[in-house]
Amino acid sequence: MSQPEPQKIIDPSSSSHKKTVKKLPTPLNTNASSCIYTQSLAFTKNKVSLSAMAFLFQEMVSTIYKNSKTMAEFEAKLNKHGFGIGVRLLELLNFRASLPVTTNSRSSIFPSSSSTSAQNPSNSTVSASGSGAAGGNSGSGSTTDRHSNGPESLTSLINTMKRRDLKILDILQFVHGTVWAYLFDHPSDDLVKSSERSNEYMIVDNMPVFTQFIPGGVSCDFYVCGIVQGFLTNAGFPCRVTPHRMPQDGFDRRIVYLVQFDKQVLEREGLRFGSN
Amino acid sequence: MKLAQALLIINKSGGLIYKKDLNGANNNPGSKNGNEYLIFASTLHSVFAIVSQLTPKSIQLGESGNSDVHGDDIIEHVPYIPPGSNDELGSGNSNNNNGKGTLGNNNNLGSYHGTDFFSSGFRSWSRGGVRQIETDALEIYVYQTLTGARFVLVNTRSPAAQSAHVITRIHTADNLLRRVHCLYGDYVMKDPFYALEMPIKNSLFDAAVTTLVAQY
Repeated sequence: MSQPEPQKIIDPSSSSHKKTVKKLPTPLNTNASSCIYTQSLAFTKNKVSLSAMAFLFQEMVSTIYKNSKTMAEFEAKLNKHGFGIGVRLLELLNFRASLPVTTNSRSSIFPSSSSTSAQNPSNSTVSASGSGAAGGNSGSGSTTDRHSNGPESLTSLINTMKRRDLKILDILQFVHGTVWAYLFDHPSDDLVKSSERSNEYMIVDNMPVFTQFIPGGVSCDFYVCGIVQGFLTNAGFPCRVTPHRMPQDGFDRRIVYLVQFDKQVLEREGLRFGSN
Repeated sequence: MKLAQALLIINKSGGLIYKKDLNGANNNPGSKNGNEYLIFASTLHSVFAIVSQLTPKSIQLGESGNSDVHGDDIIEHVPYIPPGSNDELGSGNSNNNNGKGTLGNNNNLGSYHGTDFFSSGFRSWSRGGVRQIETDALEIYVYQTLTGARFVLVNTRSPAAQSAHVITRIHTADNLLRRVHCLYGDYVMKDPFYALEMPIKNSLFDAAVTTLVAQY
C-alpha cells in the first residue's frame, strides 16, 4: 500500500521511480541529520512531547511483543533497546557534566530529593552528601546561558574534564541525579542501599514516565532498566537491573529499580577504597 | 447531584467497547446485564445513523456553513464548563469559569499540561446525529468524535437536573464526555497491548474515569 501513495505526488517526468519515492522525505532528513551533527553538545532545555514519546514507546513495545515468544524474551529485548541508550548517555552526560555552566543548571535540580522522602527503616539511605558527584568540579557561578556563544567555544569552557566515577556510590548518585534529570526532567525519588545484600541498590521512581499509560505489570519498565544497566556496565560496573512495583503513599505506579552489581565490582571496590 | 449513572463507549461499527456503572445502585433496573448493554449500544448506533439521514438538508447545510446558523437544539460551539460547576447548572453559561482549576490541583493529567484537559470551548463534531435523548426515566447524551467513536452518558431523570436548560445540560455532558475522550486518548490509545475496536479492559483508564466523574 505504501508504494502507490507517493506515486501520485511525484513528477511523472522523473527517470527513476525508486529514487523519487525516496526523495520525498529528504528535505526533512537532511535538515534533521545536519541538525544533530552540528548541534552543540551543551545542555539546552529540550522538551519532547509526552504524547509523541508515549506513542513511539507504545509502537516499539508492541513490535517487540509481537516478535517475542515468551515474556522473558520480550523483557530481554526491551532491555537491550534501552542498553544502547545507556551506553551513549554515559559519554554525553559525563561530557556535559564537565561544562561549568551546564553543571550548574543540572545539579541545581537534584540534590533536594532524597532528604525529603520517607525512608524504610530497614534500609540505610545513601548519604545525600555525595550528590555533588556531578557538580564536584569547579563550576562558575554565572547562570547565564553560554550556549549562544556557539559550539566552537565549547572546548574553551572546559577547564577540567570530569573524572570518571569510580565508586559505586558516586556512579549511582550520577544515575539518580543527572541521568534521571536528563531522561525524565526530575531526579529519581530515592536511592536506597539494601540492608540484606551488599551488592544491591535501589533507585526509586514514584511516577515512571515511559510506562505511565501502560496498565498491568512491570514488563515495559525493563526498558528503563536497560538504560541504567547500559550506563553502569559501560562505566565499568557490570550489573543486573530489574523493576519491581512497590506502591506507597498514594503512588500506586511507584517502581523500584533493583540494581544488582556483579561480585567483581564489590571486590574491586574493597581493594581500591578499603572496606565498603 | 450525580451527573452520570453509566458511561458507555461505542466504537465506529456499533460495538460496545466500554461500559461503566458509575453509581452501583439499582436506580436503572432496566439495563443491568452486559448483554442488554450490548443491545442498547448497537440500537443507539443504528438510531444515530437513521437520525443523521432524517436530518433536514437545510440544517445540515447551515451547520457545515457557519456557526451562527443552527437548528433548534443543534449547537456548533460548546462552551468550556469546568468540572464541579454543575451545581450552578441553571445559572447559564456566563459564570462557568468559577470552578476553574479544580481538576488540576489533586490530579495527574497524564500528557496534558495545565489545570485541565482543555481550557476553552470546542466545536461539536456531531453532524445531524443524536445529541440527547430524553425518556421518562432516563436522559442520554451522546458525544460524537471525529474517529467515529461515540461516548454515551446515561443519567436518571431527576427534577434537579431538569431545572437547567436543555442546551446547558447538553453542554455540561459534552464537557464531561470530552474529558473522558481525553482520558481515552491517553490511557487506551497509548496502551501497547490494546487491540483497536476491542473491549477496553484497562485498570488505569477505569481509575482515571472514576476520579474524573467523581468531580462532577
